[in-house]
Amino acid sequence: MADTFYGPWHVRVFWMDPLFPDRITINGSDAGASFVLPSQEPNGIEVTGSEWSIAVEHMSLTELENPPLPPVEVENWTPRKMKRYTRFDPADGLLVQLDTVDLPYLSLLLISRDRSINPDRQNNPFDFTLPD
Amino acid sequence: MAIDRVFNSPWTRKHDDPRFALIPQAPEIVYPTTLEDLIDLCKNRPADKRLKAAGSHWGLSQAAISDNTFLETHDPRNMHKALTATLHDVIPHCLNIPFLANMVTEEAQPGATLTYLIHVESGKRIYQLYSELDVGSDVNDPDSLAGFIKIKLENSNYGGSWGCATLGGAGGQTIVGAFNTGTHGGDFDRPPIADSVMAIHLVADGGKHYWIEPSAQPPLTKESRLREKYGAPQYGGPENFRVIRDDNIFDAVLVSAGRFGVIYSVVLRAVKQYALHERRRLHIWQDIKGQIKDYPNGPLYTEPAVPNVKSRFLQIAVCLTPIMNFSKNLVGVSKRWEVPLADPAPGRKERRGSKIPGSDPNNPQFENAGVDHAFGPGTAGLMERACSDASFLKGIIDALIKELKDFVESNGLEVGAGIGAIGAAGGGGLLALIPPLIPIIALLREILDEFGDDTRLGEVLEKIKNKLLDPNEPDPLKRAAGLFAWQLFAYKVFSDEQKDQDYDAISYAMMDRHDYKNISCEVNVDSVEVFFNALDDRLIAFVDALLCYEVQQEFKGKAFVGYASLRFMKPTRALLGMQKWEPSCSVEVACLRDVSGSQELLDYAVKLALDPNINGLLHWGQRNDYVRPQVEFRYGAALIDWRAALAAITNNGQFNGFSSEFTRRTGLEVV
Repeated sequence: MADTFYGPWHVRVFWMDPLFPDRITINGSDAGASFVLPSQEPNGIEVTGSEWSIAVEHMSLTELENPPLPPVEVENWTPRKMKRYTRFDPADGLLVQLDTVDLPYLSLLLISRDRSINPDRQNNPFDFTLPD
Repeated sequence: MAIDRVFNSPWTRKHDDPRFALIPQAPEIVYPTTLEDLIDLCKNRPADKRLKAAGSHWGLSQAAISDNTFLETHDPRNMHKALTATLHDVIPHCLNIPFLANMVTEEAQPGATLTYLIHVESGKRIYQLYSELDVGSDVNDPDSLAGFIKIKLENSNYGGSWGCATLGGAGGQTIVGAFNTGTHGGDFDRPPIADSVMAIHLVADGGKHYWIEPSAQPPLTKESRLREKYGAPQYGGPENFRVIRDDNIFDAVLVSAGRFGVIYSVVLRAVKQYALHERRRLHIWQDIKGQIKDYPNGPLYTEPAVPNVKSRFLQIAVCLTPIMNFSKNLVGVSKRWEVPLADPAPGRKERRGSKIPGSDPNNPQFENAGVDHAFGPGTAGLMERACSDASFLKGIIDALIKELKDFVESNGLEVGAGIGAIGAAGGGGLLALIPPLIPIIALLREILDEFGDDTRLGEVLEKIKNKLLDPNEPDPLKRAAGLFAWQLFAYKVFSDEQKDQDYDAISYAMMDRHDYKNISCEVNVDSVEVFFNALDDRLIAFVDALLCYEVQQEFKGKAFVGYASLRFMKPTRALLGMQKWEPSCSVEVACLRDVSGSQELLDYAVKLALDPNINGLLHWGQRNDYVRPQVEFRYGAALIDWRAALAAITNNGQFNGFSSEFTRRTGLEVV
């Protein structure tokens, strides 16, 4: 099931089971519809757009066991159910984590790139510590 | 009698900059005192002059600001007569007996709560309302509802004292101003104030007036009796009055920021008077925030120390200034539950007092209602304390100086509770600050010596902040020492304000925390309140984002002077109510304006709330920067229904006398 986002976000795979190559489908972004295989973008991708959606899909068991040879492509992709967690992290700021609800487990991490709501953070220049 | 009017006079709100009137010359301000006045104003409005009703002027949004004519239901300066009467015709004599019979039968069941009905004009202030309810009803008075029930239904149980089911933290608003903008308390087991409304008498543009109830059966009132009363010639005759029993219209008008017209009166449901116990304890935000989702049986929503009580109220006051080397934040967690009402009821004398002899029987005055300090150990929140004198701060600054002095003179060996809270174990960074702390201590002494008897808290906080935090200070150790002292000071103020507390009070004395003695205090404050589903992790993300913003500000020599407070409540039936979930959580962020760092954080809070990824809902009566697409995004089908109701009352937008810049900006219009 697709999750909707607004504005610019960095998207990367936080965890994926390499034996089960899911794909990430992004619709409505400034780049148009796109499909990303996580292995091709290990550092993640930047997604922009006023409103866009992201979905994780898995291939059928048949195609998993007998993947087609290129240039033939996998035909049957099924959306996976995701659970969404939003948090504000001291280091990265506004984050959304999308985790698959069932196995095999896949987790995406999205970090807001909108500086107006996720401003740059500097490291703490102060040291308010006391001896033990 | 002619309606009082003034032309080209200043118009302002309670929390605006006291140096200037928000509107230096309002074209016209009118002071209606009767239903006839309202009908006349709406019927004979010049086509190019729009109207907007205002209550107490306590709102921070532009909801009460008219394009042209300001219609005052309760002059904030009390120089003109107001719409404040308690009415006795509809309740009880227009009540529908089957409705009453049902009510009495249901309330006679074991475990049920008795309720009461009161009909009041829209300008009745909340402190007036709760005082009158508390005085109680007389079963031997045939014109009271209690007496009426005794005669008609042979039930004598409806005498005695009554209370409001829930209230916000202050009672100075008019009842309509409060509920029509979505005002609420922190009772998570019940909906906000609007959901105590049983009927609304609305006067719309064009002069037609409507008695509006939900569609529940049996209906509250007997239509023929209402028409007999309100269809009379002085109200425009029978064609000018209509009874509407429609959920959509009722739920639309309930929270409508004055767009439908001017509400003349409302019928409210009250509950048997009760007392509350409040328990407050200090905690750490990072330790308890995960418990917010454990609704309704988690430790925040129950009271483990008193297992048999049913907690009803939860407030989490958050100190945005960090402790423990910028990693944690203090919170004050307040819970309330009902306790037996003692005799004498604690807080009744102090918060209400006796009826003043000779006062209008339909709007009796009370010795202490709306005129005295809050009851109980302390006032609530910075907004209240900002107006109080700063004398309590002397003790805090004194203690701060002592703790710093002991730390410095012992070369860091004597670590007081405050320093132990601000610092974190595992290093020696604070020891390096000992030399630059010496001039800081001298500076604090100077501040203490300059204290006058009438020094205001807001002034003192600004002075302290400016002396301790200087973004242009070139010496990093001096900057660090100043920031450390500021954090220690903020810690002590918050710990004092939110210290452990246990006390009992009658309902209104507990809920209304406003200090009415400081009527001369003019404070320039800003406040935003953002609503979330309490079980949605975006609520926690929002608060954490503010805490992070404050930390980053402090790195740069700025600081927020104010507070953030979370309160919880059930959903409302109002279409545009902000409380849409069970439970809903409001995050109120309030600050003293003109204090650098405060306004920036507040502006950031608004920006974050309005971002569709966070999707917070804004209070209609506090700072509200909505534009129409944002309201449409948040309210969706509910706004469509709301607009349909508006179309029904305004002849599809033709009668747009109550449109204003605010309603057009936010999309509260027929489209």
